[in-house]
Amino acid sequence: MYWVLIKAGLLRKKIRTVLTVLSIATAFLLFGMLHSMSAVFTGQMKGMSADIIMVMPRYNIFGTQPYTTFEYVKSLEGVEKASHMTILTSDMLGSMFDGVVFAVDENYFDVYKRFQVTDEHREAMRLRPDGVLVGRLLAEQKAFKIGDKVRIKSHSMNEDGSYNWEFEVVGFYTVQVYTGDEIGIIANYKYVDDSRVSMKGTTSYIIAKVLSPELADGISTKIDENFKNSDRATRTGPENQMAMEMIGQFGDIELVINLILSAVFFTILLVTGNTMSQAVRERTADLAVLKSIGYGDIQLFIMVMLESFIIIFTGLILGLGLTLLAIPLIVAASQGMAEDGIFLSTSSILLAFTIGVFVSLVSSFMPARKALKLKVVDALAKG
Amino acid sequence: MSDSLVSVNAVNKIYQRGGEKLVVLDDLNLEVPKGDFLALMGPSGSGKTTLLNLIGGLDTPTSGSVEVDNARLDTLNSRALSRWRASHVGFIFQFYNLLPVLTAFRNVELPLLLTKLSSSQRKEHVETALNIVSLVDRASHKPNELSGGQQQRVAIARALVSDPDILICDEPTGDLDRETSTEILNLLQVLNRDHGKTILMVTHDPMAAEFAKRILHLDKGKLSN
Repeated sequence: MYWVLIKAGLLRKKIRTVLTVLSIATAFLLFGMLHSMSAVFTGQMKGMSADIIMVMPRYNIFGTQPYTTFEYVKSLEGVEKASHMTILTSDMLGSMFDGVVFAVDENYFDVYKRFQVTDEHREAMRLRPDGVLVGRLLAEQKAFKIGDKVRIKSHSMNEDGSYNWEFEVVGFYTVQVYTGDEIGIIANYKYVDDSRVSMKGTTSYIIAKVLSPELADGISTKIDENFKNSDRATRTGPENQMAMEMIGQFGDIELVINLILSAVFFTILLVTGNTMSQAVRERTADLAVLKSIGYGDIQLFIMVMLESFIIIFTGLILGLGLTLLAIPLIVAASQGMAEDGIFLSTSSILLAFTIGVFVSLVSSFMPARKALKLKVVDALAKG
Repeated sequence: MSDSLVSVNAVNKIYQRGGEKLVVLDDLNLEVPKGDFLALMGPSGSGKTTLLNLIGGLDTPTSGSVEVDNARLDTLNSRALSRWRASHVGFIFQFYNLLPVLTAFRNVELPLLLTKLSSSQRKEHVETALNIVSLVDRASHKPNELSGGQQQRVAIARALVSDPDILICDEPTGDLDRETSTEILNLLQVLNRDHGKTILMVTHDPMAAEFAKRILHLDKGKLSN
């Protein structure tokens, strides 16, 4: 019974219905895209271990910290292994797609299990001080092969008085799960530290593997407390949390996302509410006739509600469908960097459906109530 | 219990307009026997449509009783009135009031969607109704593809399809030319004579009223022959 009437209602103004559905689809596409990418912004990236903590300079994430801090961290009870990395590239943001060069100690691959290298390539790097390992993705993009030279400009002065550094490719590394980290070049810390004339004995970040994830917060607090109020103050925390803080340097991304989404859903509410109000107003005579031939108040109330549900859920499915189609395109366009960071989670889909139900109920309640309260005699008299 | 199909007893209908009381029907009594074809005439604002609405279960009186086929309409609630209308009365309006996006067939089928009839049974009923109004060949046409007379015949088929006791017609020819009006009025006569439908028709047109068996005049809320 309802379908015939709902179809009639939806088809009465086809263009308006299509435009309303499209605007809702656009809103849910935006929702889907922002939620897909929020994993990148909110540190939900798959594969980041809860038992890995990062120690960064407290007041400048691109700054350095003394090697003694590393030794302190390594000596702490509950820390299983520790390693460190030093960023050598001068323009880190500008080099994102060319590969940031970072120098690590020999433990790096033992602590950071996400980063993987063959024994052969690891040995090759150990034997050659200026040897580097290139990330798989970067190697594919730049067609690097063993024996190639890598030349970069650094903020660290070299022994020859220049800021130019040259390395030789001796192997490759891969990264489990978040392949964006494969856009990078790993060098020997000892070689870099011995060769530079400034900032010797410093490192950028310290990475420690703790014995169990439950210890991560306590150890992080202990480290930060130890260096509190000193010129080597630290900011320590689980890897994903620290990654989020790094991104937070560019602004409160989560707040921006939430503000955009709020605006989007307020718009959907207005668009759908307005469409349904107009639809009911235009159909006053039709609704009166339906009541006169025996349709009940509640039946017409349900009919208007269902009509709104169909409009919103068609837009919702279309919007989320487009999101799912767009994600592989974005991943491809990001040259693999976003491969594991962008995904539409089940919880995001459930949230979209919850929002859909809420918006449907709120936007159609008043028009549906109008249909329910419609007096046949008055409606027919108005013609 | 009355022998009449419709029994209106001491009905008053009063509207409150601001501080003023507007008496539309004034202690009105009316008996309509089964099989009657009654034309109600009178000037605008005389209460014709109000009386029709009361008998059709679309409105309730301020006081008095309205009994149709032994059902006291003035005591029924909104839900019960809806159910009663679905099975006992068919409405024919001046402006046809068809749903524009539905075909003639679908428009006629609308009252049957409230019943438990199967799809094939509904189809049978709709075709019978369209056959009575000679529009079977236009079943798949939408209202805007039909003339005014054809649209009114679709509306009549919609009113007939659930086989109601009474047809309530509010100016059914008010929007039609003379020739088409005559066709519609002839059709109403056939429904009354051959199909036993009791018809109550409001009209301004004396010629249209001539098609009825009885004519009553309503003026200032009171009936006269």
